Amino acid sequence: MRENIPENAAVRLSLCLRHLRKMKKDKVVSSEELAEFIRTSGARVRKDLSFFGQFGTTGKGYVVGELEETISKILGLDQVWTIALVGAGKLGMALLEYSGFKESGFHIRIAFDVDQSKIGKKLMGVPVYHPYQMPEKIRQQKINMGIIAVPAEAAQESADLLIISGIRAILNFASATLIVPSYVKLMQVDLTSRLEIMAYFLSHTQEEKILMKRPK
Amino acid sequence: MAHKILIVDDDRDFVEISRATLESKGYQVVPAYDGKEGLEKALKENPDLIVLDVMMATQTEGLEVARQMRKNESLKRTPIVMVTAIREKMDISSKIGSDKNWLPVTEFIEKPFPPHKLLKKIDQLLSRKK
Repeated sequence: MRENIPENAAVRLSLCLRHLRKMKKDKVVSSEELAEFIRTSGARVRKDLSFFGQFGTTGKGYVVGELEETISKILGLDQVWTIALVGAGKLGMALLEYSGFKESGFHIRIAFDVDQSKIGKKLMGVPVYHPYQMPEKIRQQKINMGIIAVPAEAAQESADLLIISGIRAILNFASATLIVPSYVKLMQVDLTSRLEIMAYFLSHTQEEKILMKRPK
Repeated sequence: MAHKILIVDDDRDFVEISRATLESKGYQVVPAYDGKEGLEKALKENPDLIVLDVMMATQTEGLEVARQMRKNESLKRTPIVMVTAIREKMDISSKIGSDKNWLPVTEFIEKPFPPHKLLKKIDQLLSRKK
């Protein structure tokens, strides 16, 4: 099995998996059908899967249950991933309340916040500690990943603490460009930046074109 | 002229012991007791070498101070010896000190260590600098 596949391929496989989960396990699905769900081509789906070996039956397709299991294994979702949340403010609380993570095998086990009124308590069943307890608690709980949901000015320190605690994969929601070692996987979710890209798109697109693209 | 060493650490005992050891060997020592003071003195004094602790006001203050120092042209190539108990306490692999982008320091020494170990490291780095 190849270890280094293009990140986009992993994203497409993740989207495929989301659709497979909604389908009957014994149904047979074609690559074209899957491609339609994720707005790509059948050839692209077949190529993404080919990184990991031969699947399905030529000309017929894939058994949903089998493909779901295979993709889950490829993406490492056949195990529980434990997460530490840094920042239990409004965004952090929304992430704690979201049940979709757990359904996909991602469990937020501990949270960190500087707010004294939250430290020592449980939020949505998750214990909250002071960030200075991070190395100790992350090791105790065998945490795999970190999510940063703190104000931008506290983001680098949060990342540094996660890294010195042994975390090697970080999802950052803060509007800050973080420096991490090359062996740490950093994923950035900058909502403001996404909105700015949309604003740019709308500002530089003629009104007629936008209207033409709107669904009737 | 004596080499100038800036020591940045909130542990005053460590600073004083290191200072006595280094001065007895002819080094000039400039002490600083927190990250802000360390950064200011680094820019003002233009030291030949900087000894920098990781955990000061925050657990990672030294990392940020090192990054700030490297942003300044006059400190880009100044050797920084980072002293810390972090690796020992947290069982972190040696990988952590090998990424110069994240942690732009020259050497790591794990606390606790005898004063002559720091002296030896400084001698080595400054003779390499010549």
